[in-house]
Amino acid sequence: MLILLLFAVIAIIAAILVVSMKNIMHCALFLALFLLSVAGIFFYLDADFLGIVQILVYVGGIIVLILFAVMLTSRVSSALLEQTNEQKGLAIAACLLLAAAITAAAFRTPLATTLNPVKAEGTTHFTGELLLTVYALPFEIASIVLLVALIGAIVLAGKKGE
Amino acid sequence: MMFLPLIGLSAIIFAIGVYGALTRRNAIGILMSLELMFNAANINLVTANKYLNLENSVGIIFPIFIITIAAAEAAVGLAIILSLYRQTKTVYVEKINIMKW
Repeated sequence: MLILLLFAVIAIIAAILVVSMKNIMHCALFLALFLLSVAGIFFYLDADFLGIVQILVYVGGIIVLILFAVMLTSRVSSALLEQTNEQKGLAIAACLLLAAAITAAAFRTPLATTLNPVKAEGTTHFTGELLLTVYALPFEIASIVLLVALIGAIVLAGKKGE
Repeated sequence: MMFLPLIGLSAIIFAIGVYGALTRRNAIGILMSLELMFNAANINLVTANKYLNLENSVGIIFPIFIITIAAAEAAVGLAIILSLYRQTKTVYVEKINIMKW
């Protein structure tokens, strides 16, 4: 319980820093911290496979991609530029309203909260079984999507005229 | 019972992500805010899977596909940003108006 609270506080603080820091490089590093604390929340919620995937794919892959993009596109002067547009106050109001609406909707919905029995060996075994039986077709489609994204990224960012 | 607090946590993180996507000028910052929103959705689904006894543990399977699509989205999005940067020498979205005519 205390560990979950710690991870939640770290996640919220890191998320706020991601959207408010001026230096986009620091934003990317705080995004890594946020993703790691979300992985901790996943581990707490008995989703061990998902936590490992989160660390491998997000922190190991997407953060590296983002850091590369930041380093390839930022200039020396860009740390001094204003990073937010002029709609800041309006956006804060809209987002507070959105969070309040989602939370109110969750509180007003009568959900039968029955605790899932925790499996002793974790959920990885069942996840693998489900991915190759019930969810086999979405699994294959996801691989095609990844292939298309790979080719698309190469075509978009590759050198022209070769 | 941590069900509703965790739903509230995911709502807060989603709202922070929406704020970032609305106010960031840097296109890479907007992509990072999108990642925040994806993660809020994942926390929501995993929480529902733990406390609501879902069929076929759909709350574990769905985040796997969300993470897959997020990885594909990040790769293509960053490639588009790099390509735009080569053409326009900027990543600030209000300066990228080559489709406006």
